[in-house]
Amino acid sequence: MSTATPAGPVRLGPVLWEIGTGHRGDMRVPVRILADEILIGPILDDLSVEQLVNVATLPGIARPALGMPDMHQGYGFPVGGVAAMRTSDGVISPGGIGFDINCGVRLLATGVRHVDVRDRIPPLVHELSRSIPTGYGRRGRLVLDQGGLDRVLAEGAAHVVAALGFGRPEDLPHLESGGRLPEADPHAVSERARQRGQDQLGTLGGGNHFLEVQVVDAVYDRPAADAMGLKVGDLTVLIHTGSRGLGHQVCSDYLKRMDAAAERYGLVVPDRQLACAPLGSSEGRRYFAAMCAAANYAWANRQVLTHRIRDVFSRVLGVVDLPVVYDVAHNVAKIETYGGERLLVHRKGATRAFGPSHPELPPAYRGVGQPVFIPGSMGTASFVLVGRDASADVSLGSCCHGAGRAWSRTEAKRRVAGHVVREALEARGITVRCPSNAELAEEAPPAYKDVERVVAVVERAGIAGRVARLRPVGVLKG
Amino acid sequence: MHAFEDHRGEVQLRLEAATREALYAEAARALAALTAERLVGEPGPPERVEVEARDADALLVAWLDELIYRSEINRCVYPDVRVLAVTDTALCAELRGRAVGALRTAVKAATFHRVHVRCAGGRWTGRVVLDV
Repeated sequence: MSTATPAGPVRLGPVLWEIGTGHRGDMRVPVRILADEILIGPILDDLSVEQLVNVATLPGIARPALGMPDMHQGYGFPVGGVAAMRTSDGVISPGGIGFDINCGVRLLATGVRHVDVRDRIPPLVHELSRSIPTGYGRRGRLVLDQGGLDRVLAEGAAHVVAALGFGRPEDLPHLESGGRLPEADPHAVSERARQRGQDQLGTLGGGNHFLEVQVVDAVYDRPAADAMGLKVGDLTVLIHTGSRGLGHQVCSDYLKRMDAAAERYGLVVPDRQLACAPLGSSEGRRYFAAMCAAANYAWANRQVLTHRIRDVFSRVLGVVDLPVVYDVAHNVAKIETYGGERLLVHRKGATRAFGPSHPELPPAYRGVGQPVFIPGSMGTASFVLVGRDASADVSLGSCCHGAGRAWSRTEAKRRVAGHVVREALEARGITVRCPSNAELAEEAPPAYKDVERVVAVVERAGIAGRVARLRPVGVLKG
Repeated sequence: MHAFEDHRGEVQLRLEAATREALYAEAARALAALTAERLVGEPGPPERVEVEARDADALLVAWLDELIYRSEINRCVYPDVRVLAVTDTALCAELRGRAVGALRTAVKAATFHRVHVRCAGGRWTGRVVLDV
């Protein structure tokens, strides 16, 4: 590995830092980090910058490797990392997408005023916890046969709507890519991945996955909020989950294959987790097809969850209309065009943030911008923003996916006790359902960075503008 | 012995044992301890497992991934492991599963990031980062 120079990032602007290719001899492009003078501190304290520099060495990388304001140390790619490769000669790296392929966030509006149902929130959350399996390896009520799973992998959310009745056709335009990547090939997904995914549709999973019932407690952009159906005082529901065991297995399968094939392609990577293959190779094409299939599974998963949530709201509150505001992926690779060049954009813990004139936006958001979600930690605010056209130049149409971890999991468990977190949330009127005190401690609010500051950086960078702030009143965690 | 070390978003597992067989058995015990806060019931019937990889580091990843896959499919963890044979590139073991009474941490996969298996001074050591 080449030797790095000791100099740190150079500040190019109020929220933009750069490490040039002179920093290390194997860098093909610079590294750029979006952060203010406060957020840059923890970014420099962990290994995320070194990991982003490693990403900048990958063959075919076409633009600076980008770090979002919530960036923190991951494995291989940092979390909050974005890298775009030329489709002609660039590589695809499963580590640049992650094990939880198409982990993402979906927001539902409700039109229900919190003040009218305040005392029904605890039974609502209780009923949600009964209807939605949470936790590692949990099975759902829906078990697919091989043919059914093939259809989900190929067609994503559209299949569970049309063939299984989970949700409505009008949900689909409000999902990124319509909830389906057409390049998916179910045959690229291994038997092991299928076994793991067969009965996990409609489940939340564990770790930092969650379902939150929230109140819109501020609106900053009235026209955009109106387009999304968000009003101050209304309840919303935020779902954070992904492709479950199926996606994890797809990533593991192809990392192993690409690691084994590296010598054949003359690929040497500075971190073995950056195992990759040329996008045009058989391994690269097959992984991309499997990744798309797993992404479709995740959209189908969030669609089934949407149906279950609507059912609970109907039974508990008598509400039948919970429209989908939007659904974004934050672990995925997409083929997009920038400056007339087709690029494969890896987003690892980062989402799209397309501006009002982007042709991929659904009709409801043309002229408004793509909804962007930045969840805070459990118990703190989440933010809804809209993408700006400037994001294409600033960040390859990308935004951060959350507040970013400030503490390690070990440190969080050392500093806070799970039951104390639970009591503190409940004292603030937040109903909590989480079976593991250890996971509660790991996800405690102080374990994450200041989401308001992260949002401010996003706005100052010109990537997106805030639309609304959402405050949690109920949390369901795996 | 095993220890879980600080990592910003994931879990880093460090292993140490007197023999290579014991190292991989310890990895299984560590994974079970990380996943389950409490075990219930009696050990299940023996399961024979064979895993291959291109080198010793990749074998540790493959071994843990095998255990993660079986845990999810069989809804148990595997603290009870007898490693029958292990080389740089292959491992054969007999496992007995235990049901999980209470979950501690959901482990998605083992990563290749900073993974190593080494023998120095008569002691075997290993390190692997787990995605949780």
